[in-house]
Order: sequence, then C-alpha cells, then structure tokens
Amino acid sequence: MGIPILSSYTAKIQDQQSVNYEHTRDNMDFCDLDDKYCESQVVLLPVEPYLVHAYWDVTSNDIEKAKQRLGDDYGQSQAVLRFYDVTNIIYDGTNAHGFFDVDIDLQAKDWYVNLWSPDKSYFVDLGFKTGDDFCLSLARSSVAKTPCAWPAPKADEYYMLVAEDAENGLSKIKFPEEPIPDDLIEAGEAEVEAEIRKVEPLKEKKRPDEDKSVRTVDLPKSIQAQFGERTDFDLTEMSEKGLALGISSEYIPSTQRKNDSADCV
Amino acid sequence: MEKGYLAIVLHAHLPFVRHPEHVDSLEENWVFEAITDTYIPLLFVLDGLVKDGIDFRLTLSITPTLASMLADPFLQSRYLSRLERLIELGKKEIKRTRYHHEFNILALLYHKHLRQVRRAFLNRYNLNLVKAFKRLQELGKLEIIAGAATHGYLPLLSVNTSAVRSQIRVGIKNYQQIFDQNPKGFWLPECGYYPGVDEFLSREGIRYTILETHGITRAESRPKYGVYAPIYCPSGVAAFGRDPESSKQVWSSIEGYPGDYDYREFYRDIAYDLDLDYIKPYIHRDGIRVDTGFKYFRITGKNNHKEVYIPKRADRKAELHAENFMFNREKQIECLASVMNRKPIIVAPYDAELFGHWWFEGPAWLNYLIRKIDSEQKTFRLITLSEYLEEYPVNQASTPSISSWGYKGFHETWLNGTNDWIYRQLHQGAQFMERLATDHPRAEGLTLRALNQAARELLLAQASDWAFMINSGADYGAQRTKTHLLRLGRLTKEIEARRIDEGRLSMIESQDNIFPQIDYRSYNN
Repeated sequence: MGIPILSSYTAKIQDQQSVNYEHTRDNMDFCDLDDKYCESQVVLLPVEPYLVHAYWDVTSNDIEKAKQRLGDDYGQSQAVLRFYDVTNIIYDGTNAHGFFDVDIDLQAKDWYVNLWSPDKSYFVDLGFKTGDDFCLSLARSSVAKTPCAWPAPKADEYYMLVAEDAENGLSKIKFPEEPIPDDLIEAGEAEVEAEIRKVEPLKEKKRPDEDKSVRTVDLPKSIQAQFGERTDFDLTEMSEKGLALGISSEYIPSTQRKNDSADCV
Repeated sequence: MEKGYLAIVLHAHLPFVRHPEHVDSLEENWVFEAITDTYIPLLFVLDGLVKDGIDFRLTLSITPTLASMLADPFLQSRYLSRLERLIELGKKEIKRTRYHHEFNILALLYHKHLRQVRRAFLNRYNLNLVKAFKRLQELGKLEIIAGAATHGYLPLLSVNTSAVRSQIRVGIKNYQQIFDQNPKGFWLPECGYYPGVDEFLSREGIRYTILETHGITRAESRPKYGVYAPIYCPSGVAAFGRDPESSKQVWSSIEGYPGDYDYREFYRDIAYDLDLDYIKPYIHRDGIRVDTGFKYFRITGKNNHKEVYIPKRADRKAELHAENFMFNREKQIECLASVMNRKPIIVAPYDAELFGHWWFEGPAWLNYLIRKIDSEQKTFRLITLSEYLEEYPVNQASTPSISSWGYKGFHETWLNGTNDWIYRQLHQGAQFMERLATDHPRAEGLTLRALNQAARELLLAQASDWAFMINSGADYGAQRTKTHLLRLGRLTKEIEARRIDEGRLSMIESQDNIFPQIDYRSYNN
C-alpha cells in the first residue's frame, strides 16, 4: 500500500520523536467507560487465505454461569473456538460441512489460527469443551470468508449490460455470451469487402453457374478470433504470472539512510 | 485508429493531520512537503499540457482527508510560512555553496522552484489546490474519483455495516460538496475489496472502482480477459484490475525507474548533513531534523557513497524512461488486441505522492510520457475508466476476490500482532455510534453537535494509516487511534448522561474540524 510519505516518516518518527504517549493497550478498554453494555462476544476476521484472527470478550457473569452449568467438570474443561465450515451454504443450524476445535487460552482474548484451505466461510463458537466433547457456547461470531489463493477454473461466462437509469439508478441486463462489438463487425465487413473486391476480376474467368456461396475468402483474423480455433491465450493466467503481491509496499528507492552521511557539502 | 487504452490513475492521499494545538507539527509537514513536491508540480505539468493543447486523460483520486486539509485556511497559512522559511534557507544555501559550483547550481534551482511554487500557490491557485484540480476536471482532462471518508480499511470494518456505509457515504457527500457533481468512480482504501462492499458503492451511484490484480484474476467466475477488461460485480459496479506489468516498471524497488542511479537521492537532505546551529531555524522547533527538500546527491549506486545530482542527466533519464514505458505499453497492447474481441485497457494506478516526493523526476516523467503518447505513437490512447465503460457497457459478470494492494495482497498489513488490538475498539466504537443514532433519531442543539462530533471522531479513528503506522513502529498511529476513540467514548457517555461539556466539545470541534456537514444519522441502521 502506498503511502510513501508516511512510510518515509514512520522511520524518522521512530528515530527522532521522543514524545511519550501514556496510553497503553489496557487503559483503552471501552468496557471501563461503559461496562453495562459489554456482553460476551467473539469476532472472526480473515487475514489471508490461510490465516484468520479471532478476538473475544467474556463477562464475569458468563464465566459464573458456565461454572454453574459445568459443575465439577469446569476444572477439567478446555476453552475452545469451534470453527464451523459453512462455505457456499446458508446455515440453518444443522447443515455445516463440518467443524473443528482450536484450544485457546481464554485470558489471551485473541488468537491467530492457521488454516489448510483457502476460499472458505467459517463462523466460530467460543465455548468450553469437556472430556466428552460437550461444547458450551458463550458467544457466536458472524461468518468470515477467507480469500482465494488461485484463479477459478474455466467455466461458462456471463455478461451484463449496466446503464444509468434516471429512475432506478443502475439498470442491469444479463447476457449468456459476450456480444460482438459493432466496430469489430464493421471492421470485419470492411475487410471482407476489400477481399471481395480483390478477387472480383477473377470472377470473369469462372463458370457463370458457379455457386457464389462457396467463394473462398479468408475471414480477417480479428473475426476469426470469435469463431474459436484461436491460439489459447489465457489472459487471467498471464495477469496472475505477472503478479507480485503487495509490490507497492516494497517500494524503497534506496537503502541509504541519512545518518550514514559521509561527504557533507 | 488506436488498438487499446491506457488509464493512469493517481491516488493522492494523506491522513487528517491538522494540529492547531501544536506550535510546530511534524505531521503537518507531510502535507507541506507533498504540496511542494507533488501536488503543485503535478498541477504545473497538467496546466502545461492544457496550455499546449495536448489531448490527455488522467484519473485522480483525492481523498476527503487530503481535500479537507488542502482547503483548510489554517493549514494554508501554515504552509505559506513554512514556504517562506524554506525560501530564506534557499538564499542562505546559495551563499553557502557559492564556491562549490555543482552544489550552487542545485541551491539556485531549489530556490527558484520554491519561489515559483509560492507565486503559483498565492496567485494562480489562490491558496486552494482542490479548486485547481476541479478546474482541470471541468475541462474534461481529469476525472477525479471519490474516496472513503478517512481512508478506513473497509474489509476489517465490515463487522459493522454502518461503519462501511458511513465511510462511503460521508466520502461521497464530501466529494459532491467540493466538486459540485456526482462521482463516477470510487477509490477503495488500499484497494481493499470484500464481496458486498460494491453494494454500498452501487447504492451511492458509483459506476466503478479499482482493484489489485488478483481481485480480478481470482474472481468467482474466471475472467476471460484477465485484468485487461473490467468485470461487473453483482451490484453492477465495474471493477478494473491493476496491470502488474506497468505497475512493476514504476513501483518495483529492483526493476522500477525511480531507483535509477541518475535520479535524486531521497534520503540525503541537508537537514541531516549540516550543523544543527545552521539548520535549526528550518527544522522542527524542538530540534528534530525534518526534511528541508534541499537534496544535493543522486542515488549513485547501491552503497552509501553518493555523488552530486546532475539535473540535466536526470531529466534525460526521465525522458528515456517515458519512452521505454510507452514502448512497452505499445507492445503489450498490440499483443492483447490480437487476442481480444475488444480494445484492451491497461490500468496503471500509483500513489500520487511517489511522483515528485520520493521520485523527484516523477512529474517530468509523466509530462514526457503524456506528450509522447499524444505525438509519437498511434497504438493506444489515454482514457478515463468511465469513458471505457461508455464504449463497452457490456462486460463479464463475476464477483471479485477478497484482496488489497498491501503486503502479500490481503489484510496482513492492517491486521497483525502489532495492530490487531485496534479492531476490538473500532468495532465497539461503531456499535456506540449505532446505538447513539438509534436512540437519538432527531437530535437538536448541543446534542446534535455532540453526535456529529462523535461521528467525526469514529471516522478519524478508522483511518487505515494508523494501523499502517503502528505496523511500521510509529507511535503516532497508536496515539491517533486512541485519542479519537477516547473522545468518542467520552462523548458517548456525555450524550447518554445528558451532560455535555460544551467547552470541551467546542475545543475538539475546532481541532477535528473535518466534515462540517456530517450527519450522524448515517449510523442509524
């Protein structure tokens, strides 16, 4: 991400600015300001295709309730994040593709979880697990989607015409295939005509009963492309190959630091 | 007739760093340097092109935070006094280097540039650069696109829909007020996309946005043309993808033009080289050395040995690099056009501040490039993204993939072990705002003021810049996040207790004076 000005200055601020800011992570807790509104919660955020972050808050009330519910088992119970895989489905309470548990330390209040598969949708339950797999849920997150790590396979394409509609904002019309642009057709027709004109003098030599429809004129290349048989240039593959993720953020034009200055003016 | 198009998109952004409470502010200096190094030189280039009748198109994103600062009289006046001081330093430098011809030439050059900048800032642009860009838009050469209110990183704010909606809505309202028209395009902060964010854009009448390459190539249904044609999101918003090839040529630290040895070295500024006694009046009041812009060396090579900067040689290099860039685009477009059923579009987005600030010769490069595209080739034309959509209103429909233009291409820069703690607070802050908006559907008087200020504080806390800076180890980012969240927290408490401290409210209103027209009700779900 760009911000070249900032990236140049963050280093400088670090080097030189000796301002002390007293705030710490802890004294920023809004619950201190307003605890009557704080509830147990767990929030799941994707980081990249194979990593998610979860943070949570558990009220002391809810801990007490859990202790009562679990009774003697509380001491042996393990706090877990239960991940439900709900990729491409609308969860109805029973239809998750599956689940897995990640043991956590409840006091940590946040956790990073490595995943083995990208392009998934998960939600988590924060709860307690006892030996016999009972999971007492304290809070549930909303669904978080992890990013894709590669292009989708080739499949049918759909097209859309989007136009301004004075009454309803944008109007959208779907097409099953890409329409051939007018200029391409016109250019093609012009080329065909030119070709026809070129071969016209030959017509005199042909028999008059010759079927005109079999006249062989090569279609111009631009038109040929629409009728298959073209070299398979995969532009998505090409774009992916050129991709160096996050290239802008690595921009540092020179390794020189100002305090290394040797030859002053 | 041309075979394809090139769309250069410059993203101009700085976070809101207005500090009237400090006599001298390190952060305000970011704005001042960007004005002198980037925004005014860019305007010089564009004005020159218009004057010479060159037909060109350029897309420019000016974020609401930057636009607000450029239009702010307090910062304008501080900028002028900073400029005066630097012009005075220029005079001293001319005298000091009088026996060193090669340095003297540079001192004279900087002094001249600073005086030109001052003259233009005062007379031609009447202190307000936003108006100068607006005029270029009205001439049809420049398409200015809107941005999120404070450059909030939307994928990580999306836990609260009101937060995303308000970032977008407030940003667009700000655009309409400044530019007297509706924006066609929208710059997603850090190119951060998640499926669904386009719905918010569509509802505000936005036609297109720009994504990092893999946002397009990894779309739900594979795009036939890669990044060389836009795709339509389900909402109907068009998503254009960044071309990796042209990006690399400018951005890459290894292959990129800006690292050329003939170009000016960014890090060698006299502020760090000269005696403190001499330089003291021109750096931060507390003796913290900040850039003066007087930089006398060229990059020279990989190690610390630096040789004197030779402007003519660097200018020649900028011209060569412009030719090289143009040649590569011609070849690229010829190849693409031969395999596509339509004219390809190459989308090349860059941070505006790269041009002139980091890459001193960047504006000259752009100037050469645009002029050469106009007169020395016929393969492609410059285009704006909305013009491309006018020509090709039918595009493939697909859902782009979660992506950003940050390190590794996803959310890691803004969410990692250094800065993850901010999200708990930011999400809770948004909940506070939702609750306030629901509980006060028709506030008036002091409560209205407090509610609107609370909305400003939440927006200011959400800037992606703070997470970025915390990630880079700068305290300032953490301090800003906390300051605004604490102000929001306190205002929430005061509003709910119906005990608003008017004196304190006036104080923060005058400091955080962004978005005077804000309406807190955008948080009402």
